[in-house]
Amino acid sequence: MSRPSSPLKFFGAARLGPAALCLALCLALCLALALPARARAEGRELVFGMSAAFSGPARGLGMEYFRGLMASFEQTNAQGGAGGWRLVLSLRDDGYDPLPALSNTIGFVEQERVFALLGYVGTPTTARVLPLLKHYESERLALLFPFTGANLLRERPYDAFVFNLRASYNDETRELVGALLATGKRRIAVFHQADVYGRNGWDGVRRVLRAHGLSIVSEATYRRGAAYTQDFRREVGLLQAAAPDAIVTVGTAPACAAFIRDARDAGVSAPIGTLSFADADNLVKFLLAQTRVTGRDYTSGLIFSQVVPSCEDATLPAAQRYRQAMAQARVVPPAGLTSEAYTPNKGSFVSFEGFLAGQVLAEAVRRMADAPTRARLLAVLAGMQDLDIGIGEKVSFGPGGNQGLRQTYLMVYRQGAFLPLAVPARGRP
Amino acid sequence: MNRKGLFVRLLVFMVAAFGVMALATSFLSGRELNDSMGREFKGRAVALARSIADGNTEILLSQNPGAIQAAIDLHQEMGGLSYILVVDPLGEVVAHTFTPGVPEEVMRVVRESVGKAHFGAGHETRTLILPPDSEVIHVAQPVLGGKGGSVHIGLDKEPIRRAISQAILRQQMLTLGVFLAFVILAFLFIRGITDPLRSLAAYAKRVAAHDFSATCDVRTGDEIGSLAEAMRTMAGQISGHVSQLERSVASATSELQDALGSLSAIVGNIADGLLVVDETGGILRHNPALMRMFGLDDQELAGRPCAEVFGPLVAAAVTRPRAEDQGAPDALCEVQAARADGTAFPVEINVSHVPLSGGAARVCILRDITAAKKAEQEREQSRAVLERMVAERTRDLSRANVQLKIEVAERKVVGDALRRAEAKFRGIFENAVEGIFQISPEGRYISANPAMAHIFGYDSPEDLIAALSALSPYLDPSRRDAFLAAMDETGQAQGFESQVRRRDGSVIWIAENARQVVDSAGQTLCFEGFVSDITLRKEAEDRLMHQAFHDSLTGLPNRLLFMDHLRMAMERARRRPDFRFAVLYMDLDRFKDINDSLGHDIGDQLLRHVAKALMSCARGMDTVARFGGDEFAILLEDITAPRDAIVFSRRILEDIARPLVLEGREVVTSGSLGLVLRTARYEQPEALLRDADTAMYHAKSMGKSRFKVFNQKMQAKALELMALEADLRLALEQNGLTLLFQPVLDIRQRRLAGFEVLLRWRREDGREMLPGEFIPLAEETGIIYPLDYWVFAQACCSIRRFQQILDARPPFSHAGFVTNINISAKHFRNPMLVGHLEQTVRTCGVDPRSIALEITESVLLDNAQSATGVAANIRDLGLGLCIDDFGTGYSSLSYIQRFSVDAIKIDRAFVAGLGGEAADGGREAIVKTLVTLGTGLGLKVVAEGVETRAQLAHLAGLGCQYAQGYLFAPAVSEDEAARLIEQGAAESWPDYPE
Repeated sequence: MSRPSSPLKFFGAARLGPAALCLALCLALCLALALPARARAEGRELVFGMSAAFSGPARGLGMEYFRGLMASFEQTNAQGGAGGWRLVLSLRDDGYDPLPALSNTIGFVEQERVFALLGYVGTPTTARVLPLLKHYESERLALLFPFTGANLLRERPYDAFVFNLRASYNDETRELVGALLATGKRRIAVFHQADVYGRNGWDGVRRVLRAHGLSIVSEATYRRGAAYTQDFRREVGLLQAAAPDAIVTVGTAPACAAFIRDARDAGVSAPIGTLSFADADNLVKFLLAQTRVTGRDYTSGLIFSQVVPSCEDATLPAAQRYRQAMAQARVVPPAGLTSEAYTPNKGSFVSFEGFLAGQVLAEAVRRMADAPTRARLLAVLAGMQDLDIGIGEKVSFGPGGNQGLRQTYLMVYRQGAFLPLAVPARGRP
Repeated sequence: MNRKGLFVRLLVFMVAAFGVMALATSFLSGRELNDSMGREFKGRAVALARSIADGNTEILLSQNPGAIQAAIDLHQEMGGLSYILVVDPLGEVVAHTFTPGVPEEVMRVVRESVGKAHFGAGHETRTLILPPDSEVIHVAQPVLGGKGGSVHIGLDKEPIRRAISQAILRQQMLTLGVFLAFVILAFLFIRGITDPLRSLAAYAKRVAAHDFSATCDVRTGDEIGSLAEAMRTMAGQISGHVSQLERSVASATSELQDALGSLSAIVGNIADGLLVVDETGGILRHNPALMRMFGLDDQELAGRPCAEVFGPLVAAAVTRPRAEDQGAPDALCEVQAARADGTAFPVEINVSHVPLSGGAARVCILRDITAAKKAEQEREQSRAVLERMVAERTRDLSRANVQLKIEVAERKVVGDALRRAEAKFRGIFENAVEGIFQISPEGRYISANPAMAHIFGYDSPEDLIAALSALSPYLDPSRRDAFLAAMDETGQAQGFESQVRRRDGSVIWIAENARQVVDSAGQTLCFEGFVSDITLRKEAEDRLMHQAFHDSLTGLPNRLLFMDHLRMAMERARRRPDFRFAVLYMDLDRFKDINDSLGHDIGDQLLRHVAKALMSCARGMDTVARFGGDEFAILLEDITAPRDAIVFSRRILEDIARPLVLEGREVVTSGSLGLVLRTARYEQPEALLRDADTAMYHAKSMGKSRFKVFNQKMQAKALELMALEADLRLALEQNGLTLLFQPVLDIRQRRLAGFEVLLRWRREDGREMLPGEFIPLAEETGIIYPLDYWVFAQACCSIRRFQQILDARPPFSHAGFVTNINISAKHFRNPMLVGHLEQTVRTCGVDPRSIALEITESVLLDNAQSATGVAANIRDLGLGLCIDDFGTGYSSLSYIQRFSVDAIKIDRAFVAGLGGEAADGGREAIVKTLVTLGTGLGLKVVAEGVETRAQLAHLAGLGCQYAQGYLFAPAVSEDEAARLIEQGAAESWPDYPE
């Protein structure tokens, strides 16, 4: 379980027998009912529930986002907490599957009485949880900084309970497709995941193209949960039939990597763009590994859309803090959370995003440190304007918007590092 | 195969019928199921499409692909659909769930539906074949009548088909199962019918083949069962008939064979010749005897004419026409026939007619009568010889007759002589006073004389013999055997006494004397002997016996007999632990008073009455005895509990205490009873009786009319008394007793007037015994006699010494100096007393006038009669007589007169009441009266126990002359007494208290 010093909680259901679990649940429920949800009396700590993929093909996202968040929490707690409040993270694994995400959320609310939900990863999973937030409206439960750019989270009726830090997929596709159009690409194909996430990205691409009077020349879908080993040559063929000069992929790291592998293997040389959710760091890992097998260069001609700048950018104070925190933190996922091995990246876009989310959250808690409540959390976040978190762009929520950041960053991988793409001026062919 | 015909046919039919039914059902239901499930799935697809279209109208209208995708993802997960596709009103795909892309077939349908005018009306359903090889139900559902686009869903038919085929398979399996079950049931059912039928058929076949041993166990309750039952009954009856028939045929046949066999045997073996001829005289049959008779060879003669073979005479005889009369006996004739060798012989022929089926036949019996004729001649000759012999014998007999007549005459002379002798002895026999008898060695009476009959109460000896041969006269049946045994042993019996029953039932004693009578060979002929009636003698003996053991007054057993019974009871108790008995000892209270006051007659009557009362209370087995006087003892035998004895005692006391009138005077008496219940521990009857006596004394001492059970305490007391008694005897023998002398003063002359001799006994343990403690015991045990004699002798010696001292001091002499000696009342019953006293006085050489005997009043009271005489004798001796403790008992002035008493002593109790502060007027009056009385009668009056001067002064004032007591001196030893006298106390008492 969690060490006392660690701001980490893990509900180790898998370790306990059913009877002990029931007992523990009852005890927890009694305790939770007896205590005010807003604060733990003895420790002055706030617990946040995080349900994410810690197993399965998408586990890289969950792990990295968790590491960033945790590094930030530890740093904050090490400095005496956020306004005196220790920040604690409770973890549950949903394996990028909507149904466990739903039950995890219910567990957080009903059993653990968490202060707020934090850092959910994935569009389909988060989308399934949203109606539940509506259900808990009276409890003023907030979902903070989910790792998804889906529009659903940024629109009515759920915008009152959800606070997004990152730019939306629409933002990302707009920038990405805009960049492709700017380089003269006209025949754009889409390879996307057959679900809400994929449809969101597809829709984003479609909208940009439609604005330019174009449409998607060809599209192919894949089923969620695809591993790197999956064969996508048929899908490549489907797209190739329309002879696209650029391809946008909306998927997870293994699926996108497998698609890129097959596309390149099939001789498709058109540039291929990916969204932030594709986890550029892990995607590159797959491709580099493939390169070691086939000798082919898979990483060239790839455009990675990101919602945070590179953590390698030494000019950013946040990046410095991030690296410092990551170096100090000994973030290890609690034992029993997942049985699948994961080799963490030293620094990644996803963990950097997690670190930033932790920084924002700490600031929000600090602002209501005298008496943190769920209702005040919503109010504090809604009133947060122009918070400088050290990445250049300032975080602003505020009336009519529940998204803190809007900027996206296009990256290419060159010589073992992600570098910003030199975008030609808009309108230029 | 024929056997199985019915079974197989029925089974095949049923299997076929069930099979057709099952097939039809399976086929029809399969089709039905297929159709209905297909419809159902199609309906489900339509419903799903409609629910997606209608349930998400708002999202669909928003044209937000993300939201739409979220919605259809949800539906796809939930509905198990193979795909969902949403198109906008223009037919452009908004969202779908295909991977990797929308198939062309679906796109075609989408395109078609967009263009269709009627599409707005409702859903459209079709079946599509999608590559590579899947069939789906495709439903297109317009949203808001097509204005909001449309929703297309696909439901994979493969699972539907699988579900349907599984359902059909299940249904068919069920049908097959039912079919098999029916087949098995049919098999069992048909077999249940055909099996009994088959065994019935087999049974019928065996019955038809006359095998009745077969059985048929078909016993069902249905028609087959009743058929089988009928078959069994039928077969049983047929079997019975057949066997009966066979039996009757067999018996008839054997009878016939027997008859034939015996007949031919008869024919062959009869000695007479048999000839059967027909009407014409032709021979039909013959037998071997006939052939032998006629000397013919053993040849067959049947068929030959009779005349040819046996000659014309015989032929004529046999063929002679029969008499007309049917019932006439068969003809018998005798003819001369000739043998084959020509010799003629007479033959007797008997012809009888027998009607046969082939005409009548004649059956002839021929008998050769040559031998018979010859025998008749011989009989005639022998009769003549016999007649001759008879005549000779008759002559011899008449000669012998004459000889006999002579001998008879001689015998008559001898007989007369015998008769005379016998008559002589018979006279003796008949007239003897004693009974004379003869009995056989077995004990049966042979003869008896009239005297004997008389003794036994019979009229004649014949009656006696007749009666006594049947039953023994002896009262004790074993006496006859004892008598016979004695005879056998010694050959005679002398004075054999027994009790016999006379004819009238009365019992008498007889004495028999008998001897054996033997013949010349020494064999016992009989016993003969005499009987005398000894009843009178016996009664006299019994009376004597009774008197020896019984009390003559009451008839009760006396002490002797009682002791005997007691001994026997103790014996019995020793043998039988459960046998209990009790001994009662009774004494009448104040019987002596009654006897004395009312006379001996009434006393005796009272005793008889008491005896009767005791007898009536006692049971038969108990012994009530009188021990003499008024003492009775009762032995209660075989009592169940001590309580019985207690109850018995109460009843006796109650009965006795009842007043009775004797000779017109009412007499009241009562008894005191002593019981011994724990009799088991006694060895000697005397000890037992003694303890009963002790208990009785205890009862008496507690009051009258009581009973007391002997107990341990009494025993202890008795033992103590015994010890005391022994000690006393020892003391008496070894001079353990001493005498003290209490001075008696003449208070007028203030001098010593004498002494009272007091007895002191110092026991071995040093305890000083007062006379009151041991004198009663001494009286009771009889020690009092030697004791008193010893005291008397000792006192006499002392008195003589005193006399010598006194005599040695003139002018005084021993005259007027009297020493009193106490003597027990017992002695007054003892006639020896006076003689003994006299001898002692003389031996000691003492002057008897110096001696006075002190007796208590009770002595006179108890034995007034004898005491008077004794007292007179004592007075004659010259001894004085003093009544001790006068006034305490039933004092009678007449006694003083009668016994010529010369002194009385006033009891210390009265003296103690004189003078002093606690002066008692009543006692003073008594003392005064006594003193006045005594002086008036000229008696010496001595006051005892004077202890104070006041008493002394008072006594002096009353005129009492003598006194004794501690005021003057305590009792002193003989030497001190002697010294007192020597010092002149007899002249003047030193230190006389003023």
